[in-house]
Amino acid sequence: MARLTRLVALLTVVALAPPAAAQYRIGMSAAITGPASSTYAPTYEAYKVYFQRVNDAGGINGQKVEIAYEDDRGEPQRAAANAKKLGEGTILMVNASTSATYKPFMTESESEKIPLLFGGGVCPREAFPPASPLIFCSTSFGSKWDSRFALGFIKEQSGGKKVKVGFAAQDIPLSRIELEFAEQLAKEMGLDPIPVVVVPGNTPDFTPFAQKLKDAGAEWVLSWALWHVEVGVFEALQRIGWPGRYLLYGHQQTQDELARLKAPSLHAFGGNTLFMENLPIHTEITGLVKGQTTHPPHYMAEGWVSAMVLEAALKKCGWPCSRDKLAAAMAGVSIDTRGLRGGSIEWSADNHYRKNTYYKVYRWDPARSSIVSVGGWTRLEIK
Amino acid sequence: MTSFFELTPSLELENLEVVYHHVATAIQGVSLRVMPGSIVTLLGTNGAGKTTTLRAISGFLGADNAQIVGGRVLFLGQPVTGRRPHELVRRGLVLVPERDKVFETLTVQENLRALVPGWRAWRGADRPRIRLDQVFEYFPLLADRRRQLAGYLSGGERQMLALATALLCRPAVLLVDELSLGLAPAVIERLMILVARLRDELGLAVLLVEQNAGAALAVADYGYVMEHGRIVYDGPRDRLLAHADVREFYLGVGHRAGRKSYTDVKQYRRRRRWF
Amino acid sequence: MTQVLATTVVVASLYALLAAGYVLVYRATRVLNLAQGDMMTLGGYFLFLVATAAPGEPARAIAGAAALSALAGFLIYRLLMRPMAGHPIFAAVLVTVTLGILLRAAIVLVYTDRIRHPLGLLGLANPARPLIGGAVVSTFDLFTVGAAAALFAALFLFLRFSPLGIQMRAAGEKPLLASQRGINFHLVFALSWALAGFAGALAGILYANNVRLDPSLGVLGLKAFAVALVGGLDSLGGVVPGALIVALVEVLSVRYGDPLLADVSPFLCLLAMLLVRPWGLYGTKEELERV
Repeated sequence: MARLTRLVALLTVVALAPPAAAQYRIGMSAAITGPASSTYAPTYEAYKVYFQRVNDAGGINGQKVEIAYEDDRGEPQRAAANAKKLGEGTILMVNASTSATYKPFMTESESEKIPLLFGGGVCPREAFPPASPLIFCSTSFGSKWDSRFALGFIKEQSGGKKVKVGFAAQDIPLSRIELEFAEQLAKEMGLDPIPVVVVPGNTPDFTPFAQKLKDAGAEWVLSWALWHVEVGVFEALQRIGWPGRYLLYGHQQTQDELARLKAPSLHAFGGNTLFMENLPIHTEITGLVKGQTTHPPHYMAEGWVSAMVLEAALKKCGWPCSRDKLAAAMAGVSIDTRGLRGGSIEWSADNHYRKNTYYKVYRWDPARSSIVSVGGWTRLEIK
Repeated sequence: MTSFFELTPSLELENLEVVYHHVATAIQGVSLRVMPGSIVTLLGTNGAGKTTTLRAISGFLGADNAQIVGGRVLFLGQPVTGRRPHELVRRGLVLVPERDKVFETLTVQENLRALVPGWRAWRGADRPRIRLDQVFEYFPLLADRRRQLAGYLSGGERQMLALATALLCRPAVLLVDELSLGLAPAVIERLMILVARLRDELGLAVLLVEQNAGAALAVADYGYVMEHGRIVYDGPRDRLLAHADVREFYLGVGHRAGRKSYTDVKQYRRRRRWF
Repeated sequence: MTQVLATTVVVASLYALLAAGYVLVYRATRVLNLAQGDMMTLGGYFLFLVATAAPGEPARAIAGAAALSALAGFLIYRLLMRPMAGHPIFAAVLVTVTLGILLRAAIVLVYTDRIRHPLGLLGLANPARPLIGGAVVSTFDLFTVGAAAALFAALFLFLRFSPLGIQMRAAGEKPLLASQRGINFHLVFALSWALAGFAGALAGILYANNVRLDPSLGVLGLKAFAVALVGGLDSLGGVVPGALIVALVEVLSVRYGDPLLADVSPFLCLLAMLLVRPWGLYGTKEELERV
């Protein structure tokens, strides 16, 4: 009788015991499909390949990494649903999507005290110093810092002269705010800015906008928008015989597009090294990713760096790892990007963007018939 | 007249029955024949079922939630019940409708081209090959108005245009719905004479549906009278003209004491055979 | 300024190609094909499809894309629109809206929404062409103008003089009477859809080579719809002045006004037209009820 009771008690305990959480549980919401997918889906694919490899090699601290992926299509309603879903039972949420999806995730992060990593979209101001304890960002570009670098580059390329700089924005808030800031900054930096020209995203012909910039006498034009607008204005400027130089923010398609356009006056800047530099890390990624992703290997840089940061954070957290433990670990993480970026990514308690950010400029060189970098990495300290 | 028994009727209806909305019988037990080279008229007042009969023949019943639930339509000896409208036209069964008979935004010339004529001598029926100049010979008025938009034509001119286009479709059988509607007597007479000419010169078989019995019987060889969806009387033209009730109610001739509705009159047995 | 005029004509040509599709289908079948913009995108992707299968053969790719698009238009009528005959018009219009969404989704499914440039695949180039007066346009800008002119000339001759064209006009006015005249109006309607597919494909092919190809090009169709309404939804002749007016307003608002007006200028023109002359420049007055 006693033995039976003990057996029953044992079975009850086993049945009612909570399942052992033998994995790092992460939730990721990305614009896998939808209009913005070509920008953010590569991050999702990079994560998948990266952590598949990590798990195959035995995981981190002996535990596998389990990532739940959800598609938000860049839409706030889906993002809200995903935030609720992904906030349960996970120690971290990752967002690789448009800024329209940020709010529900920030809210969920704050209420459930889950750390939130932005892995592909523009970094929210909460990641910059003074940083919110739960918000982190690995994205290579950053508002205001991009303009600071770009205008510095233009100034340097013009030999310090007071050149006329035009700005080509898209009719989305992100682009307009950034370039209006740039216009203001240009004045302070001793350049001669022309008022920002705003271009609707689905304009059939960019010529009138280009004409405006040309007539205003722009010697340099800076553009920070979706690729098709950036390049549309440039092509129109070229066509109407504008002799100046163009600097735009380089998205994933930079490498392909510089090769297609073969225009020496077109400069693309960004934080990620182009795959044409053929560093060992590039070869490694290309080999791992081949055939597994719908986007080509050279689109993977952004997501790969983000995954590297996450892996380092999990390693640092140890096992078992809880939400606050992870947040604390991330606040001290530092990784070597192995050449994918200009330097290391270091987070501190106050700065969840990085201590230093690096930029490089590329253009097409007709003499060498290839893409070359203009100078090396420029470091900007984030304060 | 020649003996009809050797010839196949150009058009024959056998006990045709049409029902609206699955419940209301529109026409019932309708049988008639149109021999080649003759004009047969179908008389009756409004709502008697004449237009429904024409629609059943030419395949436009779907428009009114109507269905053929019994009987057959035979064209040149072949059953064609329920065939698609444009197919019937191409075989030579052409309808001149009561309303909407011309394309108003097209010129007269274009109206005469907006058609697909029968392109086969179907079942060996020798169908007239009408050319445009022949049409203008029959309808000289149209020749003058060639470039005019059909929307600006008068009623009589429209009717002519409708007949002309029907001719160009190379019909073996012509179905004409209410030719006289809204036209002056002189115009009606002219048109009827024209139809008779077409019968004589081209050997057309014509089914003339008319409320205006006098005008129709002036040119018809044979006639059927419809009331409440049934054929109540039929016979050669002279017999019809002599018939007392036909004279009173459809020709407006003759006197009877008091006003009677035709429903008071004894219903005549429908006759199947030629008299 | 000559550049303003040149750009106006180019933009107007693109709108005209798309608007022709709306008018053709509306004239023939009384249906508003709100998927016309997505049919333009489809044409561009057909070009990409043939170009990737057989690179370096522009003639074959363009002909193939145009033919495939015409076939697509034909099939759309046969499979989707013909069963809607007899149903209220707005139901058919909703079907076209759904069709547009489906087309776009299918394209994204197969090709993702990366921006494509078929120009290189075709082995063609798009050099700048200076014009008299100092204006500059691209080679494909000129092709667009030429294609629009050729299409309208061809459509005019077809509808005015050819037997099938007259039948199409007849069937568009009174399908029943057309049937009674031996015209198989379903075939004629399908042909009008095929022509709309063809016109859309021209726009898509030219735009893909001139600017870019991505699944969101369909929004241009929306602006072209406003152009069609300004010109008169049932008038092919009205498309040309309508397109020129809208394009001029768009270009002028960029140069001398607020560039953001450029995006909405087709709809501002439409608004103005609806207040002054609701049936459009050359539309038929009675068409008003149907819109």
